[in-house]
Amino acid sequence: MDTDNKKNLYYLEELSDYTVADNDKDVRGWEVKDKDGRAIGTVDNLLVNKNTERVVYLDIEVDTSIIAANHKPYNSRVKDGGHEYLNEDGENHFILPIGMAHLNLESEIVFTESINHQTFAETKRMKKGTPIHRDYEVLVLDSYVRNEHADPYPKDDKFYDRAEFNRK
Amino acid sequence: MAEIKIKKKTTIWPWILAILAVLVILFIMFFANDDDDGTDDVSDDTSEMVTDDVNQSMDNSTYVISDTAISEISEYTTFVNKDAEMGLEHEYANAALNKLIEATESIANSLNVNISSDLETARKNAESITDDPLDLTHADKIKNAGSIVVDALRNIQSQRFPNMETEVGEVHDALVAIIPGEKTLEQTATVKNFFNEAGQLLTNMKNK
Repeated sequence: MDTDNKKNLYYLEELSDYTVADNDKDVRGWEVKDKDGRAIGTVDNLLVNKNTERVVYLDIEVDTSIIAANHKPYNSRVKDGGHEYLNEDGENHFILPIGMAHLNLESEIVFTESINHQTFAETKRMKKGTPIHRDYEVLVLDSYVRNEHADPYPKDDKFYDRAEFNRK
Repeated sequence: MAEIKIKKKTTIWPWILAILAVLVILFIMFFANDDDDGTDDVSDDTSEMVTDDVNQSMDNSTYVISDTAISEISEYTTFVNKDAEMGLEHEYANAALNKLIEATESIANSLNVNISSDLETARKNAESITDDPLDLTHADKIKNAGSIVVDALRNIQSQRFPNMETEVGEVHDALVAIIPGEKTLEQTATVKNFFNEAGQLLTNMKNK
């Protein structure tokens, strides 16, 4: 992955002077389920865009069933010269765009209505605490959306104007 | 779809520091005032005169000598400064003493000083000088009246003009110099010196 990209995402823990807004839920520790109700993992951290002061991804520590599925990561851009990736040992985290997550406030569960267990298992993972760059964001978004035409994404914060990051 | 916003943490340290700063300022102000009180207390304990002086200076700044007192003082000093004929010594001494008593009383009232001196007795002494021009006790009566006036002037000085102790002493010395039983005509200069010294003191008080 290209690590030269300008950093635009921060783990909330990195921003010691920021916290979750009073009216919103801090979902760290909440269980994550796919569209079929299968366990995907647990929210381990929140990834925030400092410019827009909002969470754009949930950092999820994946369930062992995801790792056990042992699927090769989806990458639609390989045919366009993109690099092919593998999920390696110790890589047990991935990110979920906030617009694709729904909150069950009573049960304190995060669930998604569009992504199933297999799609999650075919998503490129990373090690805990790895800095997030745009290349990895694109790889994950492609996996969740599965668009045959891999369109170029904006390089700036307009990237987060997509439906996958839409506000409720 | 979920939305989770973040916000800047409310940093309470600046507020804590501000509150501490205010407390420190209040603490300093409180003890600064307390120190002042302490100084006064020490003055009270160690030297009542010092405290009196401070109070007198403060009091003096709050009192203004009335126009009446200024007028009485001017009238007295004008009278004693002119080259009066001591041939009419009984009338001169009577008039000078009366004007001195009036001026002293006026400035005391003006400065709110209770002189508690028996100025009426002084007036009677002054009046009796004219009863018998040939009486040989005129110097005694002048001295008696003068003594009451000097007491009153010393009272005013100690309460309102602490720096004029020397001048009051000079008036007192001039009074002491008058020899009882001796004819006034034979100690004209001594009597006039007393009146002049008293006039100088009153003028100093007026101009302070």
